[in-house]
Amino acid sequence: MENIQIPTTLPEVENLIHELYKPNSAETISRIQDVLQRLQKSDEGWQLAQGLLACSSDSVKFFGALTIIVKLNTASLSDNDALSVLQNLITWLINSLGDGSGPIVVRKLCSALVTYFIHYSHTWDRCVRHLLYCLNLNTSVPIDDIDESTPTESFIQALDTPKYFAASWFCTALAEDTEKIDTKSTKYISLHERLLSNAQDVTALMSHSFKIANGTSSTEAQKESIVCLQAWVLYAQRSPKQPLVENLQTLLPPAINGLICDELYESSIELLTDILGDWPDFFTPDQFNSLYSLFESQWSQERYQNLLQGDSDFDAIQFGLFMLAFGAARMNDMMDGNENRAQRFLAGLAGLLTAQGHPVAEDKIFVPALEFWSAFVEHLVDNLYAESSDNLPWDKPPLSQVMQVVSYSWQKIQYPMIDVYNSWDSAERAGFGDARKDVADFLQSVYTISGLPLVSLFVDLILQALSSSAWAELEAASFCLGALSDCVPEGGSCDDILNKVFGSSLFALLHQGHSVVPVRARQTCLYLIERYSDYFGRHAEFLPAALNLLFSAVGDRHLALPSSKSIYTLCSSCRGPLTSEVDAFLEQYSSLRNGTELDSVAEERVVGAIASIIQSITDKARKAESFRRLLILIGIDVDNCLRLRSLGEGALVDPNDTVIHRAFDATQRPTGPVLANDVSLQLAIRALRCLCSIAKGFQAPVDLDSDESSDEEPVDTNLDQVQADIMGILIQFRNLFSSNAEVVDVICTILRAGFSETDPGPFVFPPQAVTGFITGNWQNRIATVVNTASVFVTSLCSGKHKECIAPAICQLFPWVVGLLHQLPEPEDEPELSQYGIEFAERCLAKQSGIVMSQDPKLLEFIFIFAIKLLNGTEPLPKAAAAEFWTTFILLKVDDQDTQATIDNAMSHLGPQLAQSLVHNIGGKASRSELDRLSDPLKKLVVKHIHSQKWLEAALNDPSFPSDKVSAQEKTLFLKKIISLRGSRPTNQVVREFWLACRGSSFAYVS
Amino acid sequence: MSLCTLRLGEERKQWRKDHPFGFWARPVKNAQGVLDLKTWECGIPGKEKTIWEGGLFKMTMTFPDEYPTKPPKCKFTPPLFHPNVYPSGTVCLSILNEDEGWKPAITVKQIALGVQDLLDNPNPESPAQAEAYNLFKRDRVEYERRVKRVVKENPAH
Repeated sequence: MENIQIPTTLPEVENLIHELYKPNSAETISRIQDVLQRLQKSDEGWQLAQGLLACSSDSVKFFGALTIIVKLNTASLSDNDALSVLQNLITWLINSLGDGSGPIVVRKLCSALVTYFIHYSHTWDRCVRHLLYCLNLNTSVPIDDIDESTPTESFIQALDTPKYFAASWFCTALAEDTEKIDTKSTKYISLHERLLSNAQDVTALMSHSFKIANGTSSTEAQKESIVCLQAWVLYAQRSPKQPLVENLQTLLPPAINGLICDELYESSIELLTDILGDWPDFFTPDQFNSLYSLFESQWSQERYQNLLQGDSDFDAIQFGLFMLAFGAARMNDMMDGNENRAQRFLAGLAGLLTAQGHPVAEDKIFVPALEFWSAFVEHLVDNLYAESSDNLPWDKPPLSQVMQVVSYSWQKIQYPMIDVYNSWDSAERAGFGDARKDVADFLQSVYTISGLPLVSLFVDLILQALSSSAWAELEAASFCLGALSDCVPEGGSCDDILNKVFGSSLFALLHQGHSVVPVRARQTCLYLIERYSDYFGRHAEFLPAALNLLFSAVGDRHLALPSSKSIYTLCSSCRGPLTSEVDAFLEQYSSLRNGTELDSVAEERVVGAIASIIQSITDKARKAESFRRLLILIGIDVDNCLRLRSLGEGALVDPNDTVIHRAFDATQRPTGPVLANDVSLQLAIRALRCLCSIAKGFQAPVDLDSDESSDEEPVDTNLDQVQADIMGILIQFRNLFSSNAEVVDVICTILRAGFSETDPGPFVFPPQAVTGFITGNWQNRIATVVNTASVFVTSLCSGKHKECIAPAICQLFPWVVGLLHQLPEPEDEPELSQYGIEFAERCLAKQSGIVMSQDPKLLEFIFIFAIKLLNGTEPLPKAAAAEFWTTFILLKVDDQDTQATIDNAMSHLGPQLAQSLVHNIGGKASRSELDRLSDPLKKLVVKHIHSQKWLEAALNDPSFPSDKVSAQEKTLFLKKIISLRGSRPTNQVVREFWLACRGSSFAYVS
Repeated sequence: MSLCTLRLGEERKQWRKDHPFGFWARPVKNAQGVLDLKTWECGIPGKEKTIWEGGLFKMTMTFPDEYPTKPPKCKFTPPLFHPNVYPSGTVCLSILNEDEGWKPAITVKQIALGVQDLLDNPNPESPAQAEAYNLFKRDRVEYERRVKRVVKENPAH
């Protein structure tokens, strides 16, 4: 099938159609499709369809009907021609019913008739009645021949089963396809009106099936009617009009009756559930009453019990979903505790949460049922706390039912035995986890209504579980109590309740390890501690026990990450009350280091936590001593690192050496000898990361008021020494390891941690020390260091030591320019270029005087460099350059000499800058860069009298990148830009001009 | 009720009925425990078989009053190391841009999936942060190492 010839005879087309439905490669199929579609769309399409429909094969006939649909959708026919197509279509339909054609042919012909109706409804307004009439006579008759005196019902009664089905399929497709046509478009108003005029006929057809008494195929016909009804309800819902809605409503009682018939159960329940969910107002009050009665019937009770006993068949779940949909539709009844019938039903909905099996894996109704209850409680909350809550139609909300659901749901989220859990697949496990989150969510909503008793409930459950060593229950109750931590009032009004748990034997028990409490329960209980960190902040008496427990869990592989996270949270938020525990925690940390399991991330959190406590020690001597102890521990890694490094190239370390445990986490440990240099590097990274975490821990908490610190603090020689020690480590590591990207990143992060601090501290280095360190010898990622220099300058400008700004810039500026100078091309190292130009921009914005007094050669270099970046293609450096120019254009200083230098530079650079901007806007920039590039343009227009001249020259220069805009368009663009005087609409004008320059073919493809 | 809250109510319903594996998303509650439908918190898991696997990243979706005419703003908290996430945490994605791919028909689920897809398929055309972008383009080994660390610090379980 390499090259498909266009068929010229009918048998050839037939062959091709057969080929289309055979298993062929996707490529071949699409080629056949291409050829066939070309035929369908050709002028001969009509004849082709006719020929195909006369063939015997179903797939060929199907294709014939499809061809008619294609023609109807693409050709435009006169009314007469259209009517003859209609006559033919009806004839083919009647023939197909008599010649043994399969349902796919009949259905496709029905679809073709619907397509006809959509395009030519004005020639066939009473389509249903006419089609029924023709089917009845078994021949296609002209529309005018219809016998007006005979009611439609008598046509329907006379239909045999195949014809009845065909009529049903037509009516279903009629609603389905017309529903897709915009009801608001004026073009189709009359189409929808004509469809409505068929409502009565359609209703008659559907209701007929429900009247057939015990016919052999009656349930099949009823099923078709239910499907048809579903399509029509969906249509009616989009634009509810009478008498359609009323007509359709008469069909609901038979659909409800369909529930108790096994063959109709599935389609009926789907129909009713959908309508309850999407359009509950469709039901009349009587129909709701009959549903209430249905739910109270023996039949319903049996279904309900099946579901609760763990029947997870689709049928059983469907019934549960049906109940839930009904409950949601009657939410207002359900909220009224005085409404007995609704309350009985609501009790049933609560009971759904007691179905057998674990949620998701076995019990499929739990999640949807809980969803109902969450919505129910939220609805209650909205009503109880609404502004007009005085007008509530009910005065007694069903709180006891809600509490019943709380009780059911916490039991359901208990973890199963480990072997059961392990037998679940990953989707079931995740689903179970999600169900637990849903319960947490639900409890938070319930709290809004019930308040503290809900907290008490779970506290009591925890204590009960503790006393009976019921670990799964302990876990679930702790999980629920944890979920409520966001709800409990600040200030400690429920502390008395919480004291019961946190003052209980819980911590002591957990301390005893996995042999006593299984890992999952321990994990959840440890998490509980973190969730209630505010509480622990108020109850320092329980904090040490909690933290010691957490520390004991850090050495455990499963618990290391969550427990270290809790330690960090608790220590940094409750640092004050913990200062007395520092020695104990340092001991804990020291012994953790001696183990083999201490994970690097967990360790960083632990040292950060301890550092944050040390930070809040007020006694200087004690503070210094504690910090020294912490630093000594880190120093062990530093010493080992340097020792290994000194062994030289090629030296090896045995994998069993304890130093390996420090260098590699458990999962990454080598099995054979490792190069000492590699181990040394890993140790350096670990030590630096710990230092980094300590530096962050040492940052003063943001909410603390640090105004009290005096400006004339005495020089602390002790602190000087500590700073010198740390700086010494940093310098050594920079010199030895800065070819490693991570080393550079972490060192820079350590520096930054001190920049933002206002008070002296071990990481708040003297500015000259920082400048000296930054401009030292780096082997890699110098861009990160330049970026750090930017942050440093900014922090100096907003800090206390203003006298240090000028020396720092005078040293750093030439250094940065020197680095940029070494680049063969500005875009060879975009990150360095970007941070370099950002550095210059910050210095200019903060200290333009100092910058403008730099060596003119340096200045010239940086300006040209910024122009080159603007002309380049790297997005981030270009954006930084645009910002640089925006800042520069706006510069205004008091010092006249400086201002003169600035003005002079601007008039010199203006034409180049204008040209660069114009080239970008003329199509060179990418769309996402335009807003940024508009900024300097807007400032230029406002600030410089020559800007118009410069821009004009740039627009008319032969180097302008686009030939798609005329000279007039350019002039108009310039005029608009100038007259907008830098206001926001400039961006839109820029965007349009750019689009014009790119050519209209470049429309955004979404 | 405004179109915005109606739609968000519907989104919430749909999300509860059907949400993709490993994701979570829900409106936050205010001090009274009443839902603020215009602010959602969600968890975006890293896709299986990518370097992001095993991580779960917290993101806030903030819906403007003009939603769904205008898109929500999606912001990772804390900011995420990723080429298309701004230093503030805001996600740069065409379907979240009013002038680009946003359509009112886009659902919360589609946004969540779109962001998940973005994790392992950064768009180098629209960088939002220099660090991740430059490493992604020039030092893939270091980029992947950084991502793995982010994953370890934000575990799904």
